[in-house]
Amino acid sequence: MTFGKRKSRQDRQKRLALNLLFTAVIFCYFVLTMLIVAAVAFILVRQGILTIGPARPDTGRLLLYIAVTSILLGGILSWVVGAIPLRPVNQVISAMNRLADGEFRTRLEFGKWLSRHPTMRELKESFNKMADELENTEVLRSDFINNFSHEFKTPIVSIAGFASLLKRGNLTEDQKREYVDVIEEESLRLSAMATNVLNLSRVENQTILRDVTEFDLSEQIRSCVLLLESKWTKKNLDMILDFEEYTVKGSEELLKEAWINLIDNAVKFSPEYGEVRIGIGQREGLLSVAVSNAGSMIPQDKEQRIFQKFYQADESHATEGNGIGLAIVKKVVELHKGQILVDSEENKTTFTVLLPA
Amino acid sequence: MRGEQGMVRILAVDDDKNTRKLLRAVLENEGYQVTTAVNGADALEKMEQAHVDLVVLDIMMPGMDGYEFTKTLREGQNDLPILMVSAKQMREDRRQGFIVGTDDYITKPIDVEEMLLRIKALLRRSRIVSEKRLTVGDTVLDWDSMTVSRPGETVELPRKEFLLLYKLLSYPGKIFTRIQLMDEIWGKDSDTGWETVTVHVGRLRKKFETWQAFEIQSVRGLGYKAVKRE
Repeated sequence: MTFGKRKSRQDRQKRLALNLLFTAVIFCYFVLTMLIVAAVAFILVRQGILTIGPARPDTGRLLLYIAVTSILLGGILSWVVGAIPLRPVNQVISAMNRLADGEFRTRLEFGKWLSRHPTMRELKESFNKMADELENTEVLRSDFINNFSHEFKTPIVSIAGFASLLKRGNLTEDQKREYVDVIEEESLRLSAMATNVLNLSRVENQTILRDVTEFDLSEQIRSCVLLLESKWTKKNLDMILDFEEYTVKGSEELLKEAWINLIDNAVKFSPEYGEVRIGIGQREGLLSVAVSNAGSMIPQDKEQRIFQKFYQADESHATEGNGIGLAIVKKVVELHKGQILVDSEENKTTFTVLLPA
Repeated sequence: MRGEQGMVRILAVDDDKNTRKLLRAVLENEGYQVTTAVNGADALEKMEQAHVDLVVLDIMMPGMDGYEFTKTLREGQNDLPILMVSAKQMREDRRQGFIVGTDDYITKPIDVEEMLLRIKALLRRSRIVSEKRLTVGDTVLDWDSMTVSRPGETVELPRKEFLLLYKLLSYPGKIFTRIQLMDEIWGKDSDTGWETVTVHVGRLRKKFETWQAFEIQSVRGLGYKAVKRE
């Protein structure tokens, strides 16, 4: 209640400032007009064209003179002086148009005098803030489009290219086998990416959690590990699941997706015969799920970027996958009002998801 | 194995010509006999002409789609094993498949190896279910009598123990969590905790300690699996 009142008082003060400015301008106007008219009248009297004598003044004529002069003068003055308050308005309009046209570097600047006024300053700051946001969004969008195109087109280049090589013939058996392997591999990669991108869009467009239930978190994680069984047995990994039984409240489907992505990453980046450790704990009213694997370190400066769509720490994209998994995990965690932390050292990387209990 | 598969006929149903071509090539290469159909209605017709052991079924087809075909079959008391293969990957689509009665569901693009393995598993299970016998090495599990026998010895087991062993040996090498086993054998609404599973596995291990054909292994943190011993 108090907050609302305080806000509207601030608002009212700002509007007052604008009104005062306006009123002051118009007042100056009137004064100016009046002075000019008085001056002209004075000159006319002096010249003898107008007389103020004892004789009854011709009121009608006098009034007519004054009226016409005022109106004419007012009109001319409006034209001249009006440009002053209207200029900032025009500036704002053309700046907005430029933004709309895509010139995201456009910013607003007012003259020294005008900038002194609190409302004008506020207008300038708000506008520039909006332009900043638009520019940022644009950068993210074009980054995304570039990465996305690259991720999609690269496998297609391989597939089409090797297919046409195979058609041309004149190849050794080994070459043929090699080319066909590449075609298969790239096709699978493309299809995995299509699936992932679909999953990501689905998650990204959600703002609230639906289908929230309370379920057995420990069993869910065990099932996720089992789902990936073929992958970790192939690498002879030691999967260490060290936790008690915990329940959690959330979207079963989305959390399952998050765990699968984290565990899949841990398996993917772990060396053969390595160890992947999963633990669940509770601290300070938060449920924490930690997935760690041995393996190469993520450089400090890249730690936050790994959550971006399509970003892969290995820029040559030599590793399998398309860099979408972590973006999905982050979004799922955010939807649950949780947090995800990453801690990467020489030989061990740990991702910790914190969820409100 | 190839010869045995030569007597198995698979019906591949898909409205796309190239997909049918691919399925035929892959399945015939594995040694199966193949019949193809372009949609659900066509599939039903083909089934009247020849006996079919398994159906590989697309979902999105004009005319009768995969869901309708499955429903029709199941409503007619036909337990033919069905493997749904679809581009639809959403959770609801999979669910719908299982609701109408499919036995398994994989998404397109088809991972050929995986599809073949699943077909094999489905055929095997279908044989087990129809025959109600499970053979592992020299050991035979018989459902109707709840007995486990090897040359010279037959052991009768209490119901839960038998079901547990049967389940684990039906999927040799696959890990099951205690909760999964409990849900399936004791039922989801049961009051028993999963320690009961631990106890039952303990009993089974004791009873079959000397049996060479198989072994029940613990997987730390996860659960149990039954492995065949060569």
